[in-house]
Amino acid sequence: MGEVTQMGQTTQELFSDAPGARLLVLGNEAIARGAIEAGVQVATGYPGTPSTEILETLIAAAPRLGFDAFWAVNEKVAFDIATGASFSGARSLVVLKHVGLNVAADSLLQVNLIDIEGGLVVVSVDDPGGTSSNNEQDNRWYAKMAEIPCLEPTNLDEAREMTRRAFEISESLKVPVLVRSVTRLAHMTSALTLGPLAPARPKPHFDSTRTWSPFPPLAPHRRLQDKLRRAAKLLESAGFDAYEGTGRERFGVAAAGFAYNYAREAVERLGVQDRVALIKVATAHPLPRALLARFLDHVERVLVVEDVSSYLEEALLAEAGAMGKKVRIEGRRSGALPGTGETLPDLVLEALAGMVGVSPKAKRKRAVMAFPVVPRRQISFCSGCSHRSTYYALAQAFEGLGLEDPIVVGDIGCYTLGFFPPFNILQTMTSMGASMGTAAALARLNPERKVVAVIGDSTLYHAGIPGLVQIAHLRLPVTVVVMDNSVTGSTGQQPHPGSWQHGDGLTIVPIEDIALACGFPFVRVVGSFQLKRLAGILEEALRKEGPALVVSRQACALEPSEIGRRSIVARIDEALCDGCLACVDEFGCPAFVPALSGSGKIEVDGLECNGCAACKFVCPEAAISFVRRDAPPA
Amino acid sequence: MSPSLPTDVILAGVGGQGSLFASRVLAGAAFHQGVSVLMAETYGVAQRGGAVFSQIRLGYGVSGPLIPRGECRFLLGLEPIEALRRARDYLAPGGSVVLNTRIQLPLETKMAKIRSQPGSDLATIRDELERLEAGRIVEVDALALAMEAGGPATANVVLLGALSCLPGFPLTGEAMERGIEAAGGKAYLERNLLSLAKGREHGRRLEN
Repeated sequence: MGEVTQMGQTTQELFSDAPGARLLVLGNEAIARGAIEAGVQVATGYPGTPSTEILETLIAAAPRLGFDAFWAVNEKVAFDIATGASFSGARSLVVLKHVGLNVAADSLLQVNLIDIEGGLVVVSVDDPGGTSSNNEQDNRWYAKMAEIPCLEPTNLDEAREMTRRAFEISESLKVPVLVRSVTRLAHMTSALTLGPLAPARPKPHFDSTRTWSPFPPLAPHRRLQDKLRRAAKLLESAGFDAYEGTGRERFGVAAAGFAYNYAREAVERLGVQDRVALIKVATAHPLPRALLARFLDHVERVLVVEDVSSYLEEALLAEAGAMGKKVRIEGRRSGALPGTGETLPDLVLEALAGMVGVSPKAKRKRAVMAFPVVPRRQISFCSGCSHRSTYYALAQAFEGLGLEDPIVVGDIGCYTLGFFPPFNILQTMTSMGASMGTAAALARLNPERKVVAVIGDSTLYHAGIPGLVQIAHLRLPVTVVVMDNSVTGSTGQQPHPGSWQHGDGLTIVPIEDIALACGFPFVRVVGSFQLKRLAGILEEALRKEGPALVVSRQACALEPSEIGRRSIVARIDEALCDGCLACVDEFGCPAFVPALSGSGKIEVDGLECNGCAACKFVCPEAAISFVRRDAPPA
Repeated sequence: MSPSLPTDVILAGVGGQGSLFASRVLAGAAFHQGVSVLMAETYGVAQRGGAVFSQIRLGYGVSGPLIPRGECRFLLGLEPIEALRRARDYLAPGGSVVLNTRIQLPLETKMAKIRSQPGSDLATIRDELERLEAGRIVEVDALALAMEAGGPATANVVLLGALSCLPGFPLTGEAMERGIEAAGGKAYLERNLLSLAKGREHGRRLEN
């Protein structure tokens, strides 16, 4: 099947009190199970690949197990919700991707100073290599900056157990605890052994006889440092870290978190177990100093294997310096391993082979291909995606007004694909919601040019609203185009405050109401597939001297309510098609394919077409029509 | 072969082809058969019309889910261009390839400027796989066989059927059936099982 939900059969078992049972699950599901076993009472977060399935799993578990789990508007709100829950004595969890912790950092760096009540755990899934992100960022540094404990699991069983223990540690020390995972662990599937569920937690109660604030900060800071010393002792006895050696090896490998798997594999594949001491560092903060000292005491040369930054490498250099030991320590910082990108098994194998002076197992000679470049496959909008129509209409509006050099500011979401062919329409993209402020400055400094800010619905709720207020307040000539597909689309259609189809019993907060309340003088809502009407309204907005906002609205093509809904399919009249490729070059729907006959004309792949009919007007020869679909597109 | 020896399998396809479902079937089959399994998948925005790539490591002796380059013995190409992309980096000499014959051209290749890009027709891809020293190359018109089973959606399962009867492949047909049941999609269970059978029949016919 094309679409399979994350919630497979195993999910029911994943929620059950069946200690010892073994299930095949995702790393993210293992973390969710750890939170369930800890008796989590409030779980929240904001969707972001690669972290999303953790909270999705908990949201599915919540009604059955009787706890609270829901998506927050952004990560700071999520962290603040967890804080309030912790102040009430409830165990609370915040789930986010690495950049999400930037959003929540303001709160984290205050709450760390407060004696919290219920265990508060933050799970950050970092994305080494930035496969689904704008950057690669090592959130272990946040633990160091906030002076809080941080655990890094290396497999599914540890992911479950460390998450569970993180709640206990947080509660006993009264300090938030960070669990750092990475993409490979998050989206790795393997066997997980379940542990028992925690007994029912006491009913939450907020103690108003004490105050909950870090101000004045010096005494709380001293207490925090004392907590961290106690954390070091607690974690030393937790058994998360490991030393594999005899105490005589000259060579050493120090591996942090998930990258430990590649270190261990490299040692075994090269067969150098008797010459190399290996340490596993799963406690990223505070680092296990006794273990590091034992290791540094006998090794002369060390390879450090870790994801994203040289956090552990730098700590080892400092530790060796403090011990007065002369040890050659190499890794991402020294260049023994690449300073950027995901840790890969082949890289670790080669670096280790180089260090110990053995040759890696006979490497296969690279075969020669006649065409060594395999055609690139850039990600593109799905068939039936509303963003394609909106960009097409925007390009039409520019053409209609004869604008040669408009500025189009992008934001974070599927619509970021507007950077790529066929539209190539976006010029900037930075952080969530940044389109608003960036466009404000561009409009100020480029008064002779039209400035458009493109932002998705979920991104607008997340961090766009303050910038929207700014644009309205300063009366800046920015045309804001809200690409509203009614869900957080790029992470898998999670609901947000504007998701009418998920809003049973909730208040829906329409974007147009927000814009009107901000004082936008021109606000319009148009269906994304009404290409001509949408282009006309965009033209009208672009002609305004002040702020204007257009909501282009059409549910995400991957929304369950949209899939298989349409009973028509596009067809190209072969006699009318002249092979101009406008439908491919300007619209780029994946359903348009070269005709099998090799005529150079285009035909419709009926399996790919979802019947949205947005392409009705894109053919200059009017060769596109629609017919009834014979069979349901399953 | 003994299931305790590690066997690496790669699935290569395009977002929307059901390669995640297919990889879950394989992992579930291994789990059912008592074979240790580690699987890494591409997820999220990376799958939107883009290249999808799953790595599955079967058997003990591995701790990470990523397959070393040039050591993969079984490659399932749900889409031929994607099969070539992964074969170039990962296929072991003599490794087997199951190749769906239906090409899905990347958008940029379709666009007028660069549509003459080489390496995007089946004959070229077959030649390239041979240059890469592929052992068996089993071509499957998976769509046609899926249509026989009731509809286009189970082409992925047809391909799994062909994969599962390659010589040396460590998972049994019965385990594959259990893998399908465990991966969900109850509404399509019968059609999936029929598609698996059609794929196996096709694979076995080629072996004889």
